Order: sequence, then C-alpha cells, then structure tokens
Amino acid sequence: MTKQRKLSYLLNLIGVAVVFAVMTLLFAFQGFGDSTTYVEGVCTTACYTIIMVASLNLVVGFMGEFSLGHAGFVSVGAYASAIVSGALAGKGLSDLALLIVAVLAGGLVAGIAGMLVGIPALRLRGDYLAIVTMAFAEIIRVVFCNLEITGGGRTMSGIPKLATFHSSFWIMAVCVTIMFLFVRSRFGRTVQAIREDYIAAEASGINVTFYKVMTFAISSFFAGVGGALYAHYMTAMIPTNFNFNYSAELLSEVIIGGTGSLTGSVIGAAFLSALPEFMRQFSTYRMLGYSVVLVLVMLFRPGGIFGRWEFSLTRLVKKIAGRGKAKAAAAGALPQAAEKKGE
Amino acid sequence: MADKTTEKKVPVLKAQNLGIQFGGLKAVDDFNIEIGESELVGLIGPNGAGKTTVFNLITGVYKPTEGSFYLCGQRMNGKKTHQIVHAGIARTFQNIRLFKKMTVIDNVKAAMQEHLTYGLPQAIFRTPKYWREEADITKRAMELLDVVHLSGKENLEADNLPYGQQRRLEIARALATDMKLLLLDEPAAGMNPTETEELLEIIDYIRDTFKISVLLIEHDMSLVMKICERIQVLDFGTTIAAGTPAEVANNPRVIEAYLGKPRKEAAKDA
Repeated sequence: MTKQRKLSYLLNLIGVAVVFAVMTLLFAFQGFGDSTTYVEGVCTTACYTIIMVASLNLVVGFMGEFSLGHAGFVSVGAYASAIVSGALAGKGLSDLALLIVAVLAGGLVAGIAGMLVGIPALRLRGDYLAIVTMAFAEIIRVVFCNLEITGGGRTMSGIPKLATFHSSFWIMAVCVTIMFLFVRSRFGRTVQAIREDYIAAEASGINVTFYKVMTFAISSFFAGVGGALYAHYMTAMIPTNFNFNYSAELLSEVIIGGTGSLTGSVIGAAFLSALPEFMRQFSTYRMLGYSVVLVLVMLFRPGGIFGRWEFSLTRLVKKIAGRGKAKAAAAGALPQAAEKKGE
Repeated sequence: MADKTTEKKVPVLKAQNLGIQFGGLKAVDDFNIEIGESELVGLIGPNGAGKTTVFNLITGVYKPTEGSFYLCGQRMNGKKTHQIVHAGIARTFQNIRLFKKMTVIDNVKAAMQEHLTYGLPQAIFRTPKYWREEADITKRAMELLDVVHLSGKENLEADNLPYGQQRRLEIARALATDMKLLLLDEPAAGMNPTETEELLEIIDYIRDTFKISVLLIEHDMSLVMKICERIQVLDFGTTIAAGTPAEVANNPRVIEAYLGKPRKEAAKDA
C-alpha cells in the first residue's frame, strides 16, 4: 500500500517534470521559431492564470458558490507582493528567494482579505453572494485607486521582473498539487457536502460557516499567489486591470474547464488564456471566435469540458500496464492514490 | 431543573414546555417529552400538526421561543445545529437530503467530523496521521453501510440508488455522527411493504447494537403501532395524547384529529 502510494507520487512528479522538460527544451532550442519568446510569455501567463482559475474553482466548483470578485483578491495579492518585493529588493536576496517571499506575502495578505470578506459575505448564498463578492472586488479596486502606496490610480511600475516561465511553472505545479490534496481530504469532502446540501451538511455535524470561510480564504490565498506572479511577470499594473471583466473571465474559464474538476481548470485556463493570443491573426474577429467557443461549450457540455472528471496519471499508467497483464490484477484496484497533475 | 432529573436515570431527551411561535402562529406549544435510553418513541399527528417543527426545534434549525430541552441532562437551547449533532442528536429528513453527487461512502464519511482530527497541513503533507484516520473512517463507514444493507454499493453515486436505499443511506449517515438520539422523519414514506419490513429490522438492529434512542415521525400506522414503545400525538401544535400504542389508538381525541368530528359539531366549530 505505502509502496504503491510512493510509486504514484513519483509517477506524478515524473509526469510534471517531463512536461516541464519538454517545454523548457522547446523554448531553449527555439522550438517555435521566431515567436518562441512570445510563446514562452503566453505559457507564463497560462501558469499564473491556472493558479487563479483553479483557486476560483475551489469556491465555484467544489463549494458551489458563485464568486464574481476573484479579481479583487488577485489584485490584493499582486499589490501586496509588489510592495514587499519593492521593500526587500537589493537586500541581498536572490531573485528566486525574493519571488518566493513576495508570492507568499501576496498569498497571505489575499487570504486574510478573503477571510475578512468571507465572514460577512458567506452568510449569503447564490445570486446574493455573487453580487456581494462583486461589490467587494470593486471596493478593493477603488481602495487601490486611492492609496498612496499603490501609486493611486496611476500605473504601479518598476516591479522587479522576478517571475520567469520556470519559476511560474513550478509554483503553479505546487499550488495545483496543494489544492488537489485539499480537495481529496476531509476538507474537500466537507466542502462538497456543503455544496450538495447545506442543510443536510449542518445536520451531519458540519460547521458550514466555518468551512465556507476557510475555503474562501484558501481560494483567496491562491488567487493572491497568482496575482503575485502576475505582478512580477508584468512588472507594471493599474487597479483597473482587475476589474469586473477580469473576474468574469476567470469565472468563464472555470466553467468552461469544468466546475468541480481541477483538471478542467488547468486545461481550461491554459487553453483559454492561449486562445485569444493564437487568434491574434484574425485581429478584430478574435473576440468573436472566443465567444463562439464559449457558447458552443455551454451548449454541448453544460458541466464544462471535463465536468467533474479528474485526470489521474497513476490510473492511466495502470490502464496501459493492465492491458498487457491479466485483467484480474486490476479488478481490485481503486483509484485511491493521490494524483498530482501538471500541465 | 436539571438537578431533579439527575436523581433518577437521566433521560436521553427531555423537553419542557417547548414551543415556537411564528408571528401569531403557535406552531408548537407546550411540548413535553422524555425519552429514555434505547427507547423508541413515535410522534404522530395529522399533516401540519407540527411534528417536523418539533424535529427542527430539537435539532436547532429553529430556536425555541418557549421552554427548553435537554440531552442527557445538558441544556441544548440556542445551540447551533452542528453543535447539537456533536452533542448527540442526529436526524434524517422527510424529503431525502443526501449529498447526491457524492459516492455512497463519502456521504457517510462526510458525517464523521468527530473522528477526524488531522488539520490542513497534515492533509497537504499527507502525514501518517492522515492515512491512519482516513483508513479508520473508511473502515467504519463500511461497517455502517453493512448495517443498513448497503455494502457493495459504496462507490455508487448516492443519486443513483433506488429510493428505499437512499432512505437507508440517510440512516447510515446519521449513525456516522455517533449520536445518542436518532430522529427519523418519516423513514418509511414511499416504501413498499418489503422495504418497510427491512427498515424495521434495521431500526431494531441499530437500537440493540448502538444503544441509541429513537424518536420517529411516521404516517404508516401499522409500522408505528408495531415498533413504538410509546406514542405521542400532536394536533395543531399541541400534544393531544400520549401513551402506549394501544392507549393512543383508542383515544377519542386522536380518532377525532385523524378522522374529524361528526359533521354537526364540526359545523358549529367553524
């Protein structure tokens, strides 16, 4: 049992590493010709978008509550991390260490903000909660527009460019893994029970409010991490970047990928953040194409592309291996092993 | 008040003058009950009599506006539902409320909050404690599923179970909370006679094995008469009769509540 578990961890680590190696090699040897740098940029964007979308999926998919204010927490993380890295720059920390400190700071501040917003807001459900989260995100944006330290309504620029594809990829892998482990633990089970029926959850001894606030805070934490990477990749930002449109974009990526599937969030975010870029050649028509894709997915896969299905490398390998061996061996195999996913 | 009860055996549930008022409507008024250990008490009454409201009061969904209730001598008024569950009162619902899109076994595990003590870091780093506790509750959940004759179905989605099995799964989920008092809200509703028979066996079995008391709301009179040791009858929020099944069945007020008065008297009242 333990051996199988370790094997499964190793397998997933190898899986993530292979994806990383392939990408790195492609970028190193100009695999995309002249546009390699550009593609690398798109991939970095995809990495932090994945973190944001997956974290939103914790709330929307697993807890079953609509949040239209995720960009607010992203911006909290972005600004907090930028302020921290600005203060610590030139203190002898290496780029990577500085990035990690900034990312953690961004995540923590966003997580605390999520908790503070969540305590009053999560008394509400459904549409009401959606509107309140939207309002909170607007409040956050307006506050940043008026604070001295964030540069007011002007662009906050000169943030050190610490995030590269390499660091973003690994931070993304770690974040998605943690979220996955969260979902596959008693916390995930509890949160899903709340989604299914909060009255029954309460009657089963679950402190619904506590777990909702907790999940919201964790979701905000990772939103902040995503925001921190955003800040240190873009190096400049303005509060209006994190407006309602940005929240709606993240939400649509969650829904397209599949509410309640982290695999869906990873693929959905990667795909949808790359899609508008790769459609640039159609210039003005690209947003039309993007919309058409959204409509089609909603028509044919209302639960999102992946629904609630999760990709498991262990399962896949077992399946491939099982074809060679006797089927009897596979009969008792439960997909119990914890999987990591990396894309 | 609690002191008086400690002298003799403390009843598992004791309600004193329990009541709730919604605006001008007294949904439940002056409700008194005492349930001893391993006792099975039936709560019956016509539709709208306030039976489910009593359940909602005892489980903390509603806050009583009058009176108080005690679990094993401990005052429970004003506690939140999940706190009451932890103290030892669990329930099932009249209209089944399962975690539909979760597996059967996860439904049971979700109710095992008390058994799990590992925290967030332990979940993320998958410490030995995590594995041990998860293995423990999986084992326990399997045992409980066995009790309600659902073994072999643990990996199905709860939504895909037939009706009778969904009802039984709800009982297993309630059992998972480790309660002292089980409230069953019409457990046999919509079941065919064979399913009802099986349910009766299960209720008997869990009473004997887990030493729990049961308060049961049921419309199926044959079932109520067969298994309940005592019955309390509600009508318009007030208790109109209480006693053994035989006493209650012959009580004129009970018959009146169920079948109505002779026409002339009814017209006078209206």
